[in-house]
Amino acid sequence: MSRSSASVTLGIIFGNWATVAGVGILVAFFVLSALAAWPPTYHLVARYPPDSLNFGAANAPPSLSHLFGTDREGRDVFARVVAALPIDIAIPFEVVGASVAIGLSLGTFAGYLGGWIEELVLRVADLFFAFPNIVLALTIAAILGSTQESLRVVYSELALIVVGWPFYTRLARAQVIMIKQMPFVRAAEASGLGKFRIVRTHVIPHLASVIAVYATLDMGTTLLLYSIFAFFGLGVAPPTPELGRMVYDGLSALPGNWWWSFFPGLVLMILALGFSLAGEGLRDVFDPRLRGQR
Amino acid sequence: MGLATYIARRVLFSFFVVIGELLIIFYLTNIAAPDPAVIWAGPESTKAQVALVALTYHLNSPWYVQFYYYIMNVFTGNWGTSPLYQQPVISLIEEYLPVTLELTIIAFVVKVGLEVALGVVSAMRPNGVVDNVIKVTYTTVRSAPPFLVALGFLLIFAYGTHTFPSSQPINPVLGATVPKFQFYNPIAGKVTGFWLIDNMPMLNSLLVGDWAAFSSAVSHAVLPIATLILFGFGGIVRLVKVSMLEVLDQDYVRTARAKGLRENAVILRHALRNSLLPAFTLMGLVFAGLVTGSLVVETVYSYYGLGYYVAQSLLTFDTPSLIGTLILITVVIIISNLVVDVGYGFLDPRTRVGY
Repeated sequence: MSRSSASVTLGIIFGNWATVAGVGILVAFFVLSALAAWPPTYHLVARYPPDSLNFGAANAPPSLSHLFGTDREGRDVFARVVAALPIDIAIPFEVVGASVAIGLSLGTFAGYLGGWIEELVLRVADLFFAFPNIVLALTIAAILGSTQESLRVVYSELALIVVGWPFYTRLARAQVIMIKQMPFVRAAEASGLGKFRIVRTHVIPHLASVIAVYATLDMGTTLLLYSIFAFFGLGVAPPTPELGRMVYDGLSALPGNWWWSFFPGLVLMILALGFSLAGEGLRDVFDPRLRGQR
Repeated sequence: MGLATYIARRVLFSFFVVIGELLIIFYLTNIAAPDPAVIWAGPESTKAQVALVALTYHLNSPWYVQFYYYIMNVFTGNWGTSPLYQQPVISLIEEYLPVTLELTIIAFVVKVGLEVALGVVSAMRPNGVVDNVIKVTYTTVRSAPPFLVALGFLLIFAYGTHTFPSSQPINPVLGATVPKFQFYNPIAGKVTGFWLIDNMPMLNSLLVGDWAAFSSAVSHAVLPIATLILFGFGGIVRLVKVSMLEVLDQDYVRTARAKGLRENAVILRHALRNSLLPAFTLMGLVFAGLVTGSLVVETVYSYYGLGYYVAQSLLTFDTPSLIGTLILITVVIIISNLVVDVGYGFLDPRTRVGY
């Protein structure tokens, strides 16, 4: 073999313009949101503060000074989009991270230990899987958040985790059932290692790549789902900007002021596209069977 | 395992799902909530209203007494009163559900047909120009939040070219024959006397023979349906394409080609049937997705259906309405999943083994 496996991997990543675009979008957004999140560098990305009212410049169309125009209160839409990025990027990471943590631990042990534990975990996961998840999550967040505005975003995230973990439980369990038949796990068992140690050092590293692929793909979906939560006012408390909520607020200004709702939605779309392109690129690397089939 | 046992086990499981969801809701509203009476009465209610609600829902009793009344109410159709509309939730559902059902079913049929067709087309020449165009299109479209697509259509086709109306399911002046939309004409245009059909704007006006109302209802539904179709677009395309490629590789397809069948016949009559099988498992998910999408789509277009009703309840924290619609949507989706699973078990006997 003339090429090392690392260079094959890199070749697959960079040989595909879609994956490059996806990773590029993500990197650009991460840098932008990091700059926006830190007050001393905020002015590098946006000219105006996100919540300074300026009724003289209300409903101004997109121009050079206001790239995305202004809203009804004269706030710069571009500045608000930029200020919303850190939150809108962090939330999918938190939700998917927690879902993966719960699903991975439950699914791994269920698959490895088998017996009644496996049966119980799977049935509970099936139960949650069978719910119409988004409507359930929206209801949970609305019931819990109805009286506490500041906690709404937390409840929304919890609700998304409640409907998110069963998928990873089933995924991890299915992988573990395969992995535990492999010779190296048998060898570890024969050498007398404890069950927890085997799972931690031999089983989990083997399913990490598959989980990472689906988590990346899921990140884009979660971003869009959370934007629906924000759209219905179940996100962070105003006046903190939030992309989904800006779209909802902007709807009331139609048909005149279309930029107020259009640009936040467009930014959401590009960000979700970044996650999905990067995720599919990762899948090509880790799952050669699916290479080129999308 | 026989088909009957398989169906029985699926039905039993679905029943447990409903019970499980009722338990979660009961826990959230009556136990976890800091003040259950406020949850049921609505955040804007007065002290006296809250006290009245606590009395009617037995909220001052121990939790098992509350649970008894809660379950009894769910099964007897007493789903509470909406603080926002000041009407029983069940009658609001009767009004709003048919509108959404009509919209969702049409969107479902068109969406599945379109995606299957695109899947077949892209399997004909994988990585060809057509395949790549389809791929790029659905990758982009499925990354768009549903409200962005709705907004785009609204700006272009409603406010821009004025081809389609921007809001409502029917022109209120023309809607006189549809009971739900009799804003101007109080004479009911009931056809069947069956609320589910009578409250569907398109079907009812068609049955009454009111062509002006029918064409108005159709033109009002075009943009919402188009938006719903594009929500989560591409899942079926991809699955049909992958399984089509697999099927085209199999011996019986080669035999069909070898005996000189035309390519169209090979694809449409031999390969398509088998490649649709995996896509069939997605149907339940697709339908559930459309129900979710309808929340956003109906909000943007002010299309007064169930999705609009749920959205208004979310925005105003109208808990009784939310719970009623959640139970309803759960049951609808579970039934649709059941139909899909049973259908799949019927079509492909191998799946029955796992249950």
